[in-house]
Amino acid sequence: MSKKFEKVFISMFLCFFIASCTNQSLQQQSLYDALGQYEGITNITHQLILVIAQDERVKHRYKDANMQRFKKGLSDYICVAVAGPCEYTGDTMQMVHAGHNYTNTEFNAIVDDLILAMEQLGIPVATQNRLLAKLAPTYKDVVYQ
Amino acid sequence: MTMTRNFLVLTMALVCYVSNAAILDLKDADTISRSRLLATGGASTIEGAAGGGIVPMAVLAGYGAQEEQGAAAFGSYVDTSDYQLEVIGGSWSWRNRIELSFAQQELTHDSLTAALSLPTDSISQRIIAAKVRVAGDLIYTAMPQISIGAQYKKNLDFLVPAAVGAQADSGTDVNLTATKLILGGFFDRNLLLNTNLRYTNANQTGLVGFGGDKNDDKELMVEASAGVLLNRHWLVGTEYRQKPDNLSFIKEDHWQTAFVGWFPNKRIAVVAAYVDLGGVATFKDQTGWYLSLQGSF
Repeated sequence: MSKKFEKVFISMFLCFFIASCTNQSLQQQSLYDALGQYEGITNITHQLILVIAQDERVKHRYKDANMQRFKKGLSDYICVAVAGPCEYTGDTMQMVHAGHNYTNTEFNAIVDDLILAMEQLGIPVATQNRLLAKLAPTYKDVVYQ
Repeated sequence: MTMTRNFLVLTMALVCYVSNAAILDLKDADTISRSRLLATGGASTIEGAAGGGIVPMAVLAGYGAQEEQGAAAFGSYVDTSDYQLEVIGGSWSWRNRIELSFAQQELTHDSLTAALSLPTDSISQRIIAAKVRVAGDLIYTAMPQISIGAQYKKNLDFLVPAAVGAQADSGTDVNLTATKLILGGFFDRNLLLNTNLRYTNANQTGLVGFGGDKNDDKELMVEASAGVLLNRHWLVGTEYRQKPDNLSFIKEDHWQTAFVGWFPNKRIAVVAAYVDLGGVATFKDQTGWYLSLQGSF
């Protein structure tokens, strides 16, 4: 391999690693503000419900659900997850999902739908990713419970 | 030249599939019943397994989640100054657990044929492989997704490889791979990190046979790739592949690529790359271009 390309390659790698390590400490707008505060979060959950309603993979899961309650609960949950000034009064993620045996496929479907909903609302990719990073760890409390 | 014909036919079929998918249901394709997120099926490597271009990843082909299946078909082309490589292949995955893949490679070496007055101008190889996801999830677990795979390779034109000292016309690579997508990990863009340990004695992936006069034993090779998803459709990154050096007649160099992957929807992936293969069988500085087209089903 050429020495020049080797240098480019190594510096790209180092850049990735260093940036991923120092990323958290960079000064930036709080995620809560980036999402447009509570109103922005409610818009996302509203849009998500519209997308889910069209999604054959998961819509049957919401057949008997009280969607107003779901919307409020999810909005509060997200608000707390992004360190917003809210109180989440619902059950833990584990409690909410226990006994339903939600599948890996369904979890992926909801994430798919959430990304689509955020895209439809024109939320910037960076903000989308920051929110997804906060929500992804719920996987272990939701799937196959 | 049947390979070239097959390559053209498959590539044209893929182009048809891809253009249909692009025109008819670009929107629809976002919600087809393959549920893993866009780009998480990776592309198809030149050896058939899901990954980048030259380095496999722990992800399985297609977009099937754990209650689904998935498949992919691909055609890839590499052109350095003195060599061309055509690859066609396919893969199938079941419940995001097992991946089976197939690749047929044809290396054209006109410059070498002219220089050494060889009786042939190409070498073909067939690769059959399996990969199992043993732990973790690419995105949703703290630990990376970890897969173990084996690639059985059969060199179909062993005349030239044998003449330069290769010991066997077939071999099996064993891969242990870890891959992680860190959400927002690179300036709030999703960061893909991947490492593969390959236990192999293949010369130039097996196109120049297996083992050699200098070394006949399998060795552990380190491969790595890293990329950033600019958004969910565009992945830019780089790969490095350490190579064995088994033949005293022709030194083998490590490989690397810098690539751009485009994932317009869950049916299509296009990867273009700049490749640096170093010296390949007496010809120095083999740099050039790589293009791969993948359809997912």
